[in-house]
Amino acid sequence: MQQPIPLEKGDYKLFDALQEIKESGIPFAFSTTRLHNVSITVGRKETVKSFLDRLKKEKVIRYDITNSQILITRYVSSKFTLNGLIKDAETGEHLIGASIQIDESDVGAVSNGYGYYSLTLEEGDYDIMVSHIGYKTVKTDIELSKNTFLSISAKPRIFQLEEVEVSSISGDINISSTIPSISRLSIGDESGQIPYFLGEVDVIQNALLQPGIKTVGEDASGIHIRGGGADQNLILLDEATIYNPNHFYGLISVFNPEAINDVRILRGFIPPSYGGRASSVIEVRQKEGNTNRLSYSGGIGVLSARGLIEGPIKKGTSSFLASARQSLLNLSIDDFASTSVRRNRIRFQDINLKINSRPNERNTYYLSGYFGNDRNTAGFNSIRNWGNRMVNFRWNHIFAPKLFSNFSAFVSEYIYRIESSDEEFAFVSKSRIVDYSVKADLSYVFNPNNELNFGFSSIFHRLKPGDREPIDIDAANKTNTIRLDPEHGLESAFYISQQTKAGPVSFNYGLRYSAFHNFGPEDVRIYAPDGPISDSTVIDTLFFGKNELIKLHQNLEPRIAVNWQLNSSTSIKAAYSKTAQYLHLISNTLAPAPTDIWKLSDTYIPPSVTHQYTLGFYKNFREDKWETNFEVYYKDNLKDFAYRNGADLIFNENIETELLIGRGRSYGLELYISKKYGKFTGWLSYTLSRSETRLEEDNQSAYVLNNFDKTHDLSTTVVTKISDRLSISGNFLFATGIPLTLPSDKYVFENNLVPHFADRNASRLPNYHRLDLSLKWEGRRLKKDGSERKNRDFWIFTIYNAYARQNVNSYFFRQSETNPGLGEVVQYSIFGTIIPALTYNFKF
Amino acid sequence: MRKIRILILTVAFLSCEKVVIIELPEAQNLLVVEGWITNFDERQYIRLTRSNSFSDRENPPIDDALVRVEVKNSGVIDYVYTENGTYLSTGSFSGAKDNEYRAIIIMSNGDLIRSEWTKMSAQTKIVLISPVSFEENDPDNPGQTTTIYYPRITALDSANFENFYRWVFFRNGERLSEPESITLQRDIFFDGNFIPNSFDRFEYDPGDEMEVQLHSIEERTHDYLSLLKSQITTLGGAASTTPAIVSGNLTNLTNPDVVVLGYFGTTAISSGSEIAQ
Repeated sequence: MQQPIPLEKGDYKLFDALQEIKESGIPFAFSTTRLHNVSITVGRKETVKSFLDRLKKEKVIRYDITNSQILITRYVSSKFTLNGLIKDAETGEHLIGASIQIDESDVGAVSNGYGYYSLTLEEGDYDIMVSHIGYKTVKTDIELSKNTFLSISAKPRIFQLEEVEVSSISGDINISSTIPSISRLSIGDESGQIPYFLGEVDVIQNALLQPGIKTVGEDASGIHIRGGGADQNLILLDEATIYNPNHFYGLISVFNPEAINDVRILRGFIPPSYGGRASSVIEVRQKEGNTNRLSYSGGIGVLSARGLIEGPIKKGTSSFLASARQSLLNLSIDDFASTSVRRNRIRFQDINLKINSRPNERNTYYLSGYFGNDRNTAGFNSIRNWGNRMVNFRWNHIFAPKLFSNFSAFVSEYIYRIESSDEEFAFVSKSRIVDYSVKADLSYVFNPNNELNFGFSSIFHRLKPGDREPIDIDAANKTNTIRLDPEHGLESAFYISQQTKAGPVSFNYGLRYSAFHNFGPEDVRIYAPDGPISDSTVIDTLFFGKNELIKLHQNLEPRIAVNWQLNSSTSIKAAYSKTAQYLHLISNTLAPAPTDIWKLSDTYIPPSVTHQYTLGFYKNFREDKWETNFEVYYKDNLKDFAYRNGADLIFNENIETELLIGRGRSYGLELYISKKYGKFTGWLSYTLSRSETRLEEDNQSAYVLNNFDKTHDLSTTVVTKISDRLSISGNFLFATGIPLTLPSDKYVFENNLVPHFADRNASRLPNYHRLDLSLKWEGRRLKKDGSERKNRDFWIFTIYNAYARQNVNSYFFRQSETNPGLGEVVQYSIFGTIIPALTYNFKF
Repeated sequence: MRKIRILILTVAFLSCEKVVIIELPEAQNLLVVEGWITNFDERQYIRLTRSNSFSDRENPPIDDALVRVEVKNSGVIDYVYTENGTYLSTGSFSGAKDNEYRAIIIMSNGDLIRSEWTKMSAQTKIVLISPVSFEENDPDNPGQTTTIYYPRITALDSANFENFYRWVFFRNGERLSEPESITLQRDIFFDGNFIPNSFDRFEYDPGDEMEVQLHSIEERTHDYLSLLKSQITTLGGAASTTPAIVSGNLTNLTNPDVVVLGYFGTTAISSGSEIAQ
């Protein structure tokens, strides 16, 4: 094959050229009836191989080498599938959302939620470029002449650090991807030096710096996405539901940054594969564990200490990860100076575990687990515990190069428990929600521009709203045993969707059918048809036996997203989602509390149904250095809840008597500008919005602002590197004060000064603004001899509230201490001062 | 829960409180009624005042109304004005179990105000008050400890009835409004058993007179006081109950749109006292 061909440089007819070579003794076999006698060019000093390869590339011939002959046949176009995994070269971790580009063209794919990609291309030689945020771009070439499994490993761009980087997706994928309004938070890129409260890294707190994501206040535990309720976010940890994402009453999230890889927040369009919550999806993925070597990392700060160990079980094919976090101070709720024996204290801990195994190219198995707990001791003998627990088994299977699947089964639980050990009256009170779920997601990739997704999911919810029993059943003064009826519901869904592209326009559309079966055993009250739902209008009670259907709710949920890409740096996106939610958090406080119970939709509590419309304009400048987007949205929440005045929600078997059905709507405009490279990096996000609700029973009533409504909400973050080892960052936030109900009058009842509240949420708190600064000092990376150190470490110094702004958290109204009879308004600020903190982090 | 949350943040992060002047909506100057019929044989009271703006001084008393209490199927008791908005029944009487009462008020402008019927509950007796003590570091004398007493009360809830209770504490004859001005209980957790109590936050020094009253009240009254409590203790933070109008059981029959604040109720009191030692 390496011998030169006996032809001079020049133009030939194919048959003449082949014949001449054959006659020179090279064993060519061909049939002139099978080939077209086209004109070809012969170059100087070509070998047989280079000659044949060139003709093949020019799609003139194909050739096969048999034992004695070189068989030449007509070129027939054939397609093959290139598929595989994109991985981190150091840890073996699968990379989600990496872009795979062919020959620097528009053709390409993005690795899915499991790091898997699939591309179907014509036979040929290709240059492949893989890029992912925080990783060096990998270039490789491939000769595609059969279906090929190719895993590509990318090296991290700089060092793995423990900050949260908030960004859209790498390169210009923000322009080309169909789905609008995605925020991706990846832990582990050094450009994202956001100052953290008390030096803690927190993905949920950092999500608040993205457009459209709000909270009521610094002490509030719920997050509100585009005007949705705190219970309307589907929060998934490795695909299993997490019911309460907070520790320490909302100050910090349950997601230990040491164990977390990636967070994705879908706030505008919810793909048909997701459902069950009305407003958004917050998808958190744990790291997978290093398949190449054993490594440790950790950190210690004012609030908590955390550590992680990960490594291969069998090198290259399986790995484990274990991580734990513990609050450090046995945080005192009362005055630090107080040594009272009745002092309240709180502490929390998390454990994250993960094992994964990839015995062969077609199968990957994952087992992940999470255990979290908060413990609050109050007074002499009251202990409260609450927390989430989760175990999830997943199986990724490649049925065929074009057919990828993910199956999972999980159990997830949220419990709340109060134990009072007061000698005589000792009792334990608890509430619990458990989900048992199975799910299948399949995707079939016809070609890079056409992908079909389908699957089903089924969750069995079991709620124990409240049990209270004496600790010592034989005690003389024991309290009664009360067990509220458990609730049972089966939430099932089927979906099908297609991701396709026609010229500059790409679509992601589909349909989700969801059904919710409410099962017995349960006593269901029947209320008088014309009267209000109250204890006094009960006319009958029906008993439903075990597994007997009480009520079926069902919804067809169409979803569509369209991207019209005007050019390589500009696109317009539009999306519509309908979502139904069958599970509700019953909470009558301004923000949810860990004690709040969940309630299934039933005969009287309808599902919450939301329609959301989004339109966005995306534009990148200067080779994707600057990313911008501008979006508007409108959201109609058909069934929203409100509570009667003085609603009694504790151990209430008939919550429906305390609820009022409302209708909510939210609309707004979001602007996001991000600078991705250069000496200074950072972003600015701004939201102009309104979120309001009115009671449904009175269509004439005016909409009232929701508690978390903020007209203007702006945040900006800037990061700059001073030297190789020192970098600083700052972020500034500004938001309109949240709505507030003010009293018009005061009066006295039994010597208590009572504020008489006028129009609900008709006023606002003063505007909120704050500046945080942080400084990161990295340990030496190089040894004295110039070689790289194996261990890496860094210090982070943060200043929260740098100019000591006393942002008003609330007003309260009381009798003047100095002038009895006179009322006074007291302004309360949670953080009235500068809060410095230092943390130390390491990895080796 | 509210209290806990606020305290956490108070401590850990050097929060701050300050008295401010903010613009409030215009005052509506509404009628406020406060009245109880107790099982004590005494001149019962109804107090009428008018709400006013936060920046104003004491609420003006109403001294020119006509006040009486109607006893269902029995007759009417007249009240006379004394001072400070307080009207007292012309003679002493005690509310009798299962009797129903309602207040009728005629304002000087002719408006007729009436409460719902309210029924006297059965009294639940305090059997025993036992002072319990514990040692705690003395905040005034670092390094020293001090003994704190609190009452432990023995009282038996009657079975098979839904009972609602309110506790009132006195120290040396003075009513305690701290740490909580309204202490309520319902018997869903202890129907027919001893009433559980853990009042360790009502502190007494050695030698103090510890007087405790157990009020048996109606469900309606319990709900009113519970709503009132949630509104007077609200600190407005994220864990607070949503602000609401504390609706009572009185209506202005002449002008039904005009809100009448306050409450007229019945309460059957059992009381006892002990010396903290």
